[in-house]
Amino acid sequence: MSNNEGKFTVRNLDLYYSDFHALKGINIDIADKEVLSLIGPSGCGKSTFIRVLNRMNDLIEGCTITGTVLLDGEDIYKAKDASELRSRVGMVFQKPNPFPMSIWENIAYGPKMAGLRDRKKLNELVESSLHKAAIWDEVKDRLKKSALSLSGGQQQRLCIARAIAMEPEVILMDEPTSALDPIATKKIEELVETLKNDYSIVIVTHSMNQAARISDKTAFFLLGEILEFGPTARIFQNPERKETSDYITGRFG
Amino acid sequence: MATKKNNDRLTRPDPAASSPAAKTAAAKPAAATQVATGAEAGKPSAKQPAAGPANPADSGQAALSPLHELRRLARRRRDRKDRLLYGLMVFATIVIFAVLAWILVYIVANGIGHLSFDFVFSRAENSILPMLVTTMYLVLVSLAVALPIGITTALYLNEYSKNTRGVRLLRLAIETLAGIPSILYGLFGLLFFSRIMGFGQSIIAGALTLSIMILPVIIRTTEESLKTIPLAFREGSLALGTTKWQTIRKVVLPSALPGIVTASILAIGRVVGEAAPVLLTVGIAKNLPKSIFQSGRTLTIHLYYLTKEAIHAEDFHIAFATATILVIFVIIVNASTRLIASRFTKNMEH
Repeated sequence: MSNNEGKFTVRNLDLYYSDFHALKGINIDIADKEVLSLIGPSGCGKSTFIRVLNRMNDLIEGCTITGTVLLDGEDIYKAKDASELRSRVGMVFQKPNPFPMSIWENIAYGPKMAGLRDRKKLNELVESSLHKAAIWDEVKDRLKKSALSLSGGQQQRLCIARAIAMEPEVILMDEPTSALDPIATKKIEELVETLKNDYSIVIVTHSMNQAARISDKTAFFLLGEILEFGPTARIFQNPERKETSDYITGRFG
Repeated sequence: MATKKNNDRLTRPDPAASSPAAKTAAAKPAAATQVATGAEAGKPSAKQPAAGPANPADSGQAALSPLHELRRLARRRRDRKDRLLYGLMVFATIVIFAVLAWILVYIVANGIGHLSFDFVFSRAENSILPMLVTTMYLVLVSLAVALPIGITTALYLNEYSKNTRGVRLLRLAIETLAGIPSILYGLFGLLFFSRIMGFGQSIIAGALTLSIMILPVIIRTTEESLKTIPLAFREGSLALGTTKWQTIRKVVLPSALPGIVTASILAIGRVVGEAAPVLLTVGIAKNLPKSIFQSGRTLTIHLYYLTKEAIHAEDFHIAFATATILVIFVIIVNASTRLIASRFTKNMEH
């Protein structure tokens, strides 16, 4: 039964970049409306793993995947085209990457490309998305201004709003605060707390504090494997593996 | 600065000034003063003994003087080199500007007497209106043919293709096209477009010929600008569930626009300036072309005939007046291309 409430079910996932075995035998269930944080040293496969979930790795030449990844029980690698999957599974990148367009255009871009033409509905969607990303008050008077004129933290919240506008079920975040100052980071963390009421969130982070603060579950990656996975509180207070405790206490990584 | 510090350090252990240790110490920090080390090593007998006797006698100042003197000479030599190079650069810059200005002034000064509204726009006997129109047609049609093909090819090469044998072959073909002398394009166009396809000598035959000629320029310049667009834009767009084509159409192409404009300007320059293939494919008809399926004479070809057939001073003035119009034409076309592009870019960013 636990399979049914799971959003993502990953079984025996292996991923190769040409000869390099980047992910080894990954098994994990990602529950609905929960925050899962992925921790582990650089190059251990965290980012590679979340890019499996929205098939971003399709863009990389020589990347092969075996195993199954189910979203609501359906194999996401069955469809030829990944765009339907990506509209259900949004992504926020490490570096804020707003398009060189106006703030309004940035948010409306995804829905427009998906076929929404009604100007009134687009306006509503832009406003509600910006509200949900807690940036509406800062940008409401300059929706026609270039998104590149915003600060880094604002740009990242804009990118979150852009993902929200697609009304996804899952949001993937690849170190979303690593390029931001502490105040902007705090805002994003608060945002994640409220967003988890509506979405499943998978967040890659290098900050142990951040993982402990905002996530319900934590998975510890090492050299392409998930070494330990469980409730965040348990992982941080009582890790089963020595490697996990070494990493979270800062002895290596 | 470095030299000065160095001097101070060497002042104290004065007998050591000639020892190898001191020499390396002197050579290392003063890497810039290679001349100095060279001189030191090159003619030690000449300078150092001359200053040498003073060494034990007057410890502080005297020890400073031989090295100091060498450095001063080296510095002066270096400064002279610097000034010389700077002078050369200024000279080169002036030469470039002077040549350009000289050509322009020479052309305009000789042609301006003959410039009049009638000369350019009337349908009188010696008006150049037909040539202006032919040139315009030729530019527009060759761009209309080459730009879509060139941009699509660049998109394919940069966005879709993998590094296969076929693609490497395609790149080799493009490089080779770029290196072929233009007269060969002319011969090919004459044979294929004029004869086999039956266009005869006409603007369309010439435009098709020239469009092949400018393809490599357009492909390469466009590809260069596609390469500068960050992967983050593409990923951001694709992550929203857009298709690859939507991403290219809405995010990649608008960002590549400045590069595409540069490509167009370079291509226009070649079309306007080309003579040999145009002579073979477009012909030399002096009348106003009624359509692109007729022969015509471009400004450049007209200029060639005017000069070739000139006998009196008067004829040369007409040639120079035509050249003036040609220069103005190129300037106007380039400026308007840039203007259109900047309009697009503004729309995109605000």
